[in-house]
Amino acid sequence: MSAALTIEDLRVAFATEEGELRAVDGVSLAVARGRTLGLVGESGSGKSVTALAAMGLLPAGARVSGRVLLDGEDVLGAPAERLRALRGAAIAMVFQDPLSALHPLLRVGAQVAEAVRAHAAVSRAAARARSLELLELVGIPEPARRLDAYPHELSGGQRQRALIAIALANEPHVLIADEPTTALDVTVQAQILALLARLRDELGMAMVLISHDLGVVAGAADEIAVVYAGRVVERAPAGELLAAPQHPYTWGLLTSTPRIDAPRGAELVPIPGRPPSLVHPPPGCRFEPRCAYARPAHRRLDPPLEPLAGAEAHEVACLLPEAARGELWRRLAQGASPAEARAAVPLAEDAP
Amino acid sequence: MTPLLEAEQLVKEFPLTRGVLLTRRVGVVRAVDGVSLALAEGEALGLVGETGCGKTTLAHLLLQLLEPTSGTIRYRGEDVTGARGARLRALRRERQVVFQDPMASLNPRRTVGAIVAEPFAIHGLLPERSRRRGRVGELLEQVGLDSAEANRYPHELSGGQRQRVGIARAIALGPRLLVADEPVSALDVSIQAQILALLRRLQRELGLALLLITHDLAVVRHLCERVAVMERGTLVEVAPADELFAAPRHPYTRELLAAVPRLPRPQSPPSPSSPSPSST
Amino acid sequence: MLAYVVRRLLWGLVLLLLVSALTFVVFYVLPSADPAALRAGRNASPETLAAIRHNLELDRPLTAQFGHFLERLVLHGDLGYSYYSDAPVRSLLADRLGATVSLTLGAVVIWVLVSVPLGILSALRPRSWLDRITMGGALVAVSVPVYWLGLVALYLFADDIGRWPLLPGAGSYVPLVRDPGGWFTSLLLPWLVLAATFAAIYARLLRSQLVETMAEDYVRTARAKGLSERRVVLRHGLRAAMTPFVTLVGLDVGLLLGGAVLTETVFAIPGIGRLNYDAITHADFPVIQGTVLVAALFVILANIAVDVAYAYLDPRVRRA
Repeated sequence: MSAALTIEDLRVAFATEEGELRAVDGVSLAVARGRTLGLVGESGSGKSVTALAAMGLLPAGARVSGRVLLDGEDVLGAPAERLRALRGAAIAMVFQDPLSALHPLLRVGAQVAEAVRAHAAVSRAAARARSLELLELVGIPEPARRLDAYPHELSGGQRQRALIAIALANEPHVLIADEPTTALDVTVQAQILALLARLRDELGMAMVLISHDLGVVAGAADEIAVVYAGRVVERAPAGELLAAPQHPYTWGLLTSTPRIDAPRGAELVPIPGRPPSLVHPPPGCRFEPRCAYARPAHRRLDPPLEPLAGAEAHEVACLLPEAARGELWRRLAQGASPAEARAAVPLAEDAP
Repeated sequence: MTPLLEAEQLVKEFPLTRGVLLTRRVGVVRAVDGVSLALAEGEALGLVGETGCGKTTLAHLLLQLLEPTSGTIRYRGEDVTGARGARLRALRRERQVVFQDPMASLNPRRTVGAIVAEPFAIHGLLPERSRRRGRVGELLEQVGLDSAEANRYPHELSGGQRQRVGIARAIALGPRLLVADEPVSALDVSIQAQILALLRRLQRELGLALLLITHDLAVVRHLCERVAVMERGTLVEVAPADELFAAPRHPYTRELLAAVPRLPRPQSPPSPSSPSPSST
Repeated sequence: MLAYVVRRLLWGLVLLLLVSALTFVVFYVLPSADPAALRAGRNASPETLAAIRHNLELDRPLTAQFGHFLERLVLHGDLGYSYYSDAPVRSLLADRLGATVSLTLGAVVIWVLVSVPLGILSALRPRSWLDRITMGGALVAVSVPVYWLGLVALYLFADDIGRWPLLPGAGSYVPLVRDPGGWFTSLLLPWLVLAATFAAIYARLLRSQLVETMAEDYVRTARAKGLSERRVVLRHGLRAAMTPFVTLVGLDVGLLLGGAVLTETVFAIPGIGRLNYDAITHADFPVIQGTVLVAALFVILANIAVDVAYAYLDPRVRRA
């Protein structure tokens, strides 16, 4: 199955007062049609910038290198007119805050119809009929009435559905959903995620689901890529990543997320410190300053993203030996603190 | 033992008016519709509900930032419902609040030190500059910041740091009750954990009662002993956390719990000899 | 919405009442020339003065004068007689209204046609040379007093005193109905001068509004749809940026219809502003009262129109 969206060694840098900020520093991903890739990372990790690069929506002044292949066509170097033809047609995006992502002064139906007419020469009436169809498709109640409503007259969930309708107007091959549920209530979140999954199957799209919430991604993605400081630090099929994560950052995310099924006394283990500066990133492993298991050598060596010995599909960028990682996680999963796990697993001081 | 804060049949109505100059009431919206609640000293109570359920309005009523349409509020056994002026000011020292958006709740034109020192200024405490500065430094350290940050401005700090400043400001006067309205929603996951750990530590160290308002049930699970579920202005279920999460009684509670995205329980990884599933 | 407008109009009447009462009080409280003395001329005898004073009702108490004024206004639409020119105030106003309306509307058209493209282009290319020139020029135009600009314009282009005689000079105004060509050419310079300051302000306003709206999330959504950049700017960015622009234009039009005093004086255009100015120098109270009421009326109407327009443009404010 060939990938609908392939990203190869993407690098995006912005000029800032302090220097060049490398928001994305070597990210490679692929998603096939009918599959969902979950992109997990915190703010500033580069996940949203990656999505914008795939859409050709980066601000002017961004330095981009690498390749982004949409159905085999490289869109990074494409002329603006070609990008415009692809955006909203072959690849579409759903954004985070539905209230600000919809134009406050235009009716919802008109905004959806506009997406239709951007890529097909249809009459206003036909576009309007199509908008109605789309609003029904995304499950908005009383869609005929909502056509002429303004965004502020809809609820948060309905607005997000409208945004999804806009994205789907031309049956894209790739749909990127950037934090689609973050601004919504938890019951609505569940509905939207279910809707996205259903639409993905019905329309056979490749989907990229971006979130900072592992829980959201866990239920919805086939494959998860964890992004940190502009790079992918771990990638694996969803079940495997959650059961047997290999990167200390992923461990940190898993142990620091409050869980609904944990007892009250359970300790959350926060990841100490903050993400590194992307203007002057650390020369070695980028997670090293916050890693409880780092060796001195990790300050100098930058781990590449490599598959595990026994599992081709599971890749991780970590200098610790695989066996040690397995042991550490085993202990963390049983409730040990990082310090306890560290103490229990022998790691040579000098070697990586 | 008398509860720290007690609310009885609180109702808050907001009038629906029509007309611009000669306005007339055409109805009311009952944001809070007969809520009774009790919070013990040092207890952590979670108030959960979705957008528009009235939890923020309820919090404002309990903090007496709003006057209830009807109902009573008792603080340490005393009826404080109509408190005003100096009496209300004295009460404010004991009940403080931390808000959701740290960027919006800190005055961008003042330094961190000035922001944390403001409660002292308002209540006329610690007039000597040096003592005040010293106390501000202590508070910053207590919330996990370096005391040197007192000279920086909010926009120079990260979201998590700003929220710590907000917390430092809230505990400055040694309140007995801290109301936290979505204190971690605007923060990244790993920072959330840090702030939650901080709140828990402070609660233990200072014996604070905590009223945590949030839509995130996992956060409530982590911090709170008791949980109150609010829907459309009323409390539909109030129970100890363990009970509520294990055996929710009200259908709305069940709906909320079912909707929370779940991470699979961390389990031991498969033994190295078995072949790992390849991506399908 | 209709009920809203009707209510606003009624309150507008109340406001007009207050304005006229206030003008009455101001006129009598502030030291100014005695209109009776002005009318009587020099060396008038005390008896003449007294007679004139009685004639003008100046010897009656304030409240009685005001009451009488209201009575005449409401029942007969009579605004009184000018002390100075002995003509009914109403007809004086009617004569002058055409000129002021011509001046205002022409200036508005020019300043909008100039400021919108300049504002858009500057916003789309911030810090480009076009932007810098436009904003710099705007700063100059705002800082320069309009009468200075008017005098310089006359000095340069007026056919009677100008260096490069191109256009009719001061005092050449003719009403539209009498001579359309003459009307147009006589107003060109005043239009340009009056529009200059406003165009500057509005170009800057539109620029900053558009820069803001182009950074909004909904513009990103529009681009994500694959819309042409032109459509993104005009239908999404500009549409949102125009709301404050339109409302402020409305308010300025209301103000200018009350008389652009300086411009009218410099170019000797017989408009309401000039009438007001002359009346003040002659302590011609009834005329002052009339022009103030007209100006207040236009401002009130403009405010109501602007509020209605705003509700039309921004659906979020529609809940009355």
